[in-house]
Amino acid sequence: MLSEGQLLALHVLASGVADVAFSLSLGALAAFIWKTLPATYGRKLFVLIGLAALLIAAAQPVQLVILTAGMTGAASFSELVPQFRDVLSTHAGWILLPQAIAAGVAAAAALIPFPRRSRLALVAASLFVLSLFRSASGHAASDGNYSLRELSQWIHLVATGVWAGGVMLSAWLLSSFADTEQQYANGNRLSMQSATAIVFIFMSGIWNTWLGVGGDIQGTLHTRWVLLLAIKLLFVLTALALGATNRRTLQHPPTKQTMHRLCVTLRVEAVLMLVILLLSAWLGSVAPAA
Amino acid sequence: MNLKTCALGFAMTVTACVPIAMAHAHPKVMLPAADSAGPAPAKIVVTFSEPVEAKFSSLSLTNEKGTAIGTEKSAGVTGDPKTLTLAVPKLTPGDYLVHWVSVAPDGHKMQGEYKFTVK
Repeated sequence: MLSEGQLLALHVLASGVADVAFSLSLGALAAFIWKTLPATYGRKLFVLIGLAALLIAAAQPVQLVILTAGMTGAASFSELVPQFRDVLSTHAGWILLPQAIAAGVAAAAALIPFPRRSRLALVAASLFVLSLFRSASGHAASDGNYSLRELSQWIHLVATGVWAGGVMLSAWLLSSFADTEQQYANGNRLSMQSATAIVFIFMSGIWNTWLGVGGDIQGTLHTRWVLLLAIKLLFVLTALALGATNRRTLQHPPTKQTMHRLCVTLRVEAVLMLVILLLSAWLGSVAPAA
Repeated sequence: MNLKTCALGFAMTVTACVPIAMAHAHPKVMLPAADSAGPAPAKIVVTFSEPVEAKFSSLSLTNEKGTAIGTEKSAGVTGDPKTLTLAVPKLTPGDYLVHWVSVAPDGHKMQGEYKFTVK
């Protein structure tokens, strides 16, 4: 049906799209807490969360097909279908189902108009459930359910989503404001949010490494995986450097020129976040020894 | 920012980026051991580095010419999700290849083979 390389490309694309959508939904949810956004932006944020959640829900059946093809090596779609039941009985298979349901509930809550407070609560609750199942669906699953590794992965996932989603969202938000004071206030909110998220990313990342690697990284050197990791690292460092530049810019009183510079840097940072999320999806699909 | 701060930041970034793909099930303990020579085993036992989905993971044995040995299918071990066993018929002296396929709980598949010799 599809070659191993094509399956990998599809898997990376589906997980990458889901990761970007998940980050955007978390970024939009966090923006509700900023309280510096004009009221008219509430509806736009709900629409963004709704569309992102729909994308995540749609990615799950695609993931099931890719997972089944990868696990069974089925040569055609007709050979694939009877295998779904068996694949859904595995950890990687069944965990797609609650993710699809949680994303569907988040999409419905965000897109169907009802009182704002209840909507926000339902969106937050369903995204929380979605994040729990997402953190249990990757490599952290190897330690079993409710493990420390899954908790650490959950913190890492949510913090990365808040950082990346916040940056991607702000690249659009700040450019849409005409008022420099408004750009400055929201830029400061983003900066504070990103700095907090990065602390959690590093703390959970170091903890994950200690749990996952156990000091044995020797065998993974000189592999395609390490090359990908190095490329991702380059993008992360560049994003961090741009974030630091933005933070420095925000320490000065806002002018049209500095806020324009902030918006341009944020757009570049947003593109970097997209690349980082796609590279993460790729890294998560490749064995260290590959 | 001084050099020490930069180095610390770099080291922390590297560490925070590493953990994403350390969990793919590869053979950790093999009986008979890889590249070993000894008496004929009654079964092949492979313990992987991670738990495996027994339904989609397998062991099979061939001789040095690539001919499949035995008709038994490999199976998981109750209470030990990391181990697969394969019962084999009486093996005559010669080289044998164990082919393994592992599917980890995250759905990732790995495969490979290793050799042992029956004296």
